[in-house]
Amino acid sequence: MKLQWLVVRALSRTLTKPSTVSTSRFFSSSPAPSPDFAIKNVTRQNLDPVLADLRFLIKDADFVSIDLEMTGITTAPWRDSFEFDRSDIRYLKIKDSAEKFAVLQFGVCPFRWDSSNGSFIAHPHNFYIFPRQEFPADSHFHDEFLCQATSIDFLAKHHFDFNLCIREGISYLSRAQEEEALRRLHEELADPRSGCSEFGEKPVTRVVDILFSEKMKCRIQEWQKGFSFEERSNDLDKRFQTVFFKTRPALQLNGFTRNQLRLIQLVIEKHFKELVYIHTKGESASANHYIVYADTDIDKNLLMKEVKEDVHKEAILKIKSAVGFRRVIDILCSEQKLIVGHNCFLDIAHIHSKFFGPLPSTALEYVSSIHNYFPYIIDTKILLNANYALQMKMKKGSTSLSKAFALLCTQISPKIEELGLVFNPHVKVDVQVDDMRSSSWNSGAKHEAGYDAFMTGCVFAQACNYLGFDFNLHPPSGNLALDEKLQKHVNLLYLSWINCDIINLTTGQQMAESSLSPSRKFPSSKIVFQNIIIIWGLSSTKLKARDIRECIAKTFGSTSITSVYHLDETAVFVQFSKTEFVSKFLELKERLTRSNSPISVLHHMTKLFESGKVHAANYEIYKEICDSPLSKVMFADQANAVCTTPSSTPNTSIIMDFMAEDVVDSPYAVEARCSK
Amino acid sequence: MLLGKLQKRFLCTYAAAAANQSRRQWPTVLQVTKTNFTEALQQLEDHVHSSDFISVSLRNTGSYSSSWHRLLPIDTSDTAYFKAKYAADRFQVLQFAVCPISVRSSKLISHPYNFHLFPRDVLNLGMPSYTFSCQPSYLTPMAQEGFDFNACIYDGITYLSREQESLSREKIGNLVPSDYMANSISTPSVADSIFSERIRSRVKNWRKAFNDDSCTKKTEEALIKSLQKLMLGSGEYSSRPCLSIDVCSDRQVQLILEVLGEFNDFVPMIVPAKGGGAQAVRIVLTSSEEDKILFEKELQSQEKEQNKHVRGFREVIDLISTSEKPIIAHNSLNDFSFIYSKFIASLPPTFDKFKSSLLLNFPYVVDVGHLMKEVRRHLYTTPDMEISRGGSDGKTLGLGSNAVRIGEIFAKICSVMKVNPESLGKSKDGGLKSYVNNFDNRRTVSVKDLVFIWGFKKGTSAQLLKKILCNSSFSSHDEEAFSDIRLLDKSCAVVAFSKPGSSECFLKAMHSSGGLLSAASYGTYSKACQMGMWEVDLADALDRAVMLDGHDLSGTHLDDPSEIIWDDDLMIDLDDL
Repeated sequence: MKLQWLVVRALSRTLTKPSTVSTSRFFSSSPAPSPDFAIKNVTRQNLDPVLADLRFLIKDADFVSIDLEMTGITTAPWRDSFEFDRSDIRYLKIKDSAEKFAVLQFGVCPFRWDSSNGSFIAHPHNFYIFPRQEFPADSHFHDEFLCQATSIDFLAKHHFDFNLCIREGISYLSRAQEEEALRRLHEELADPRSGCSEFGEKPVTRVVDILFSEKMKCRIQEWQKGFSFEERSNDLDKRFQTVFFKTRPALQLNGFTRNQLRLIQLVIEKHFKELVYIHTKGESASANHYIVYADTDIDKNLLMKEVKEDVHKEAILKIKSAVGFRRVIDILCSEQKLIVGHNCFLDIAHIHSKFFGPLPSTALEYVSSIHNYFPYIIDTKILLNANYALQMKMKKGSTSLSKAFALLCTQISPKIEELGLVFNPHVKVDVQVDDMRSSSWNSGAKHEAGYDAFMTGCVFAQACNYLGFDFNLHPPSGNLALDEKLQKHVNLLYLSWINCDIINLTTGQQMAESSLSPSRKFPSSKIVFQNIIIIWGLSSTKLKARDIRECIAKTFGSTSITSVYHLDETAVFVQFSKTEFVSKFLELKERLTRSNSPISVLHHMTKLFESGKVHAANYEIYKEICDSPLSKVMFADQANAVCTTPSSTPNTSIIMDFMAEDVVDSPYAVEARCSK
Repeated sequence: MLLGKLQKRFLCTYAAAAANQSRRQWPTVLQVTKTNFTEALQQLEDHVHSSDFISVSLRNTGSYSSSWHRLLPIDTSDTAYFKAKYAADRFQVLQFAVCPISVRSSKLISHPYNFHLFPRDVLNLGMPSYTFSCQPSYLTPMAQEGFDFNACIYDGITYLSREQESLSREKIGNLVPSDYMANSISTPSVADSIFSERIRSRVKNWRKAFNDDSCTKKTEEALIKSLQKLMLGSGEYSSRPCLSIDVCSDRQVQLILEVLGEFNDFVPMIVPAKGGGAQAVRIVLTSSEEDKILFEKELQSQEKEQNKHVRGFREVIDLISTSEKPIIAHNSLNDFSFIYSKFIASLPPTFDKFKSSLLLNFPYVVDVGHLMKEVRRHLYTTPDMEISRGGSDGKTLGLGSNAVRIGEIFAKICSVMKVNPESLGKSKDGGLKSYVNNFDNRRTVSVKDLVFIWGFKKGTSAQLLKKILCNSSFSSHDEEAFSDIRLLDKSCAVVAFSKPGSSECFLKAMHSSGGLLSAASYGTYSKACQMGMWEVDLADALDRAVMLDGHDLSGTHLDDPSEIIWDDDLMIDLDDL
């Protein structure tokens, strides 16, 4: 309760006093009044002042740790990562996740070594972000995101404030979206019709409209006469207000309907050569309508040009402000600092899709694109698993962030345990939020992006210590990432933690983790992907892996199957010992399901296909199914949808190539895929 | 927003009359979360039973994600249903307002409830919904209105649809009191009889041991008990001794149940395995015939509680459904697509199936939106009056007040149409008969006379398009060929032809000309909706549908050439796009 109150208090403080923030960083050694001050929460209310500050903090930082909170991880249970996922499939699954889910919180925590104090100073920031559409009239940016019920529930359990996030979260545009918006703006400006409003030439026929037009004509004539004799006409009608528009006398129109405005415009065009009808979209979404006096054609053109320029300027400003949170990412990119995350492949993929542009279709392209933006990334999970001393310290247990933090950062972590076992001197980390500083800070809010980022940074600092860094003797100078002790860990990310697949962002190469950390246990048998078939549409409860194995073994021999693995209750992977079994199986399946001969009735495998909805395909089809933008909850539904929807006109040539290369005969796989 | 307008127009006279009696007070809406759900449900039950009709209103996480995805004037019931289905399949209901209303001596008595919902996966089965979509442009105004998302997500009531409930029964490991399976095993094999014999002796021994035990000394009881538990799988279930026997097939379960049929003081329960089937049979020993009956009752009430827990908010839907009271909604097709997909079952593939299946569950649905259109003439005769509502306007009424408004609009319409709301449920042939269960549109234009065109520059106005078409070679021999042309979104327009058959000529001309413009008949549009080609731009969706189908020149693609409304009121305002 107390904790919540503190958070609320601090939040209201950061929200109400944003202007006091900017001076704080100069008082780096001010004493901490209490170790329990709240984290720096950033919403659209205080983005600008915080950003002004954060820019310098990042510039001065030795490294910056990050963490994201998302609305979900997997769009369907079978999109989780499996042992049977080849690395290209793993990428497709991560891509799907990053494309569909939103980021609600973004933690950024710059760490700077303070030599005078012999400690790091961390500045944790917790940004609330929300993909609010800043261009409501523009359907181009498809605004919709998915939520995974369990993830949202998880956030709720950790007291995530959804109201604050939706109301005050910072919006953003990716670079690609910004470029697109600017391009469209230029296109619009090149269009001669823009600037003045276009109501069309629908003829005025209704009696009411004709009457209204006549009335307006008189009214405007009156006004025109009025202002040529004296500056101010004593107009009592609130709907007409004499103002100056671009130093020209003008009549502002208030409270007319769209149709009435259209009629007024028609009247002006028809009867008043020296008047121009102009409408502008103000800061607020409401539009202003004016009748402006410009007596010559030259002046008229000048006026139109001025209006156009205004529109342009305002539109550019609007786009710039819509960039929003991406400005933080832009700072991180331009400063080229070492970025530290924990098991952060998905986080980085989110950053790419939200703030740079659409994710490329292959891991290789993606990696080179990311490397361009962030030349140095370190994943603390990799670090923890790669170093023997760290492994010992972690007692070879789980390398989850909170566990690592608890074990490695004992003097920061609230759980003080086993003091006797601490041999290595710790790296001190002080936390500074505004003008408050503490060496034993604990906001207590785990799974809050800002705090998780802070924990990640602390774990990294301690890990550096184990790797042989002595910041007291050799304060970090220049780029930490270029230090030889870190060299072999930089830019390695887990593409898949289960499979221990690591991808190198610098080279794009993938490797097995075994080459890096001999201590971890790895999947024993090697998976041969071209020996795998996938079967779906099994009646959910009856057939167990054991039955399927038995069933197939009776036909192909007891050694034919290496493994059977359930994707979900509707589908299984079956790995054969030889590639040729794949095509043989598919061929046999086709024959058995097609004919009702006595042979098929008696055949062992008929049991597998008895529901009549069973399909089988090779591994490449599995990839295609994963590549689809669809996400049905059950794999069988997904597979059937992908294989029948014409949208994903599957690239059959690839499949045929694969078949020709690896399988001796028959295109049955393709048939099986398309069979309904 | 639209609702606000309707209300303003409709409530004036009604409220003015009411204001004469007393200063009208809006009933306070009871906000229901999981903490007060049980009590609220009990209360609601009484209110529903004493009500004349029930109005409902939903708040969802989104509506349509692209301008052409919403209901367009050109939509037939089928395409409208596909659109509603697309939304209901993806979005989530966050609030469900229910307002049972009764009319007593021309006074409205309403009891509004506002249920907060969240699809919490309490059973860990990925249900009621694994993921759902949110639309920021829809949520942002809700947030500005003061919608409390935290209340929904933290304390929202969860639910399972009827379909999901039966699915979950197969999957979750609740103890199921077994019904003795009537069909005995036809031909017991040798293995079967050995198994049965073994079970028989085991059960006998256990019971004997227990009976002996209970009369002899009670020392070392703890030790013996734990040993028993370890060795025999025996223990206690609701303070009665019980024995668990592991099984590995359904056949064994059946054999055990048969054996147990020979005893009369056992109550068998099946422990389901995760992923279906049984994992064990638990046998509970009751002390007497009375105790057995008592225990079976206990089990029943337990099951009832469990069911309640599993169904969650759906209890409310079941309550409304079984009450068979008239249900009043504002946008019935959309609302009931949501209700059906979340609380009944997955939405059927066609509108007809949906309608017939829905009517089984909700036999009496009235859409005030449709009703409004029909009775508008009556209302133009009533004078507009301002309504005073004790200084509170719509915004301060609190969450869930829409249901109250819908109910009041309906009551007003009833009074205008001289229908007695009290008699609604009883005799269905009241003055509203033709409006009940009317999810369809009024029909005026045959869809055969419509042609979709696209491929023009985005932002081209309808007028310009009309000019282009008028100057085209096609219309040179028939000036008045088409009656109207309208933009459906920035990428696509629809042309209405005034003469039957001219749409086909136009399509033929377009295809043979090979210009940049593409054209297709209504069948292509219908296909795009049916196949779920929900591209952002209608033009892209139609392109896909054409690719799938080839050009459909005849325009007779539709099985049932329907007509649609061509109403100026529904003219699309490009400002809204």
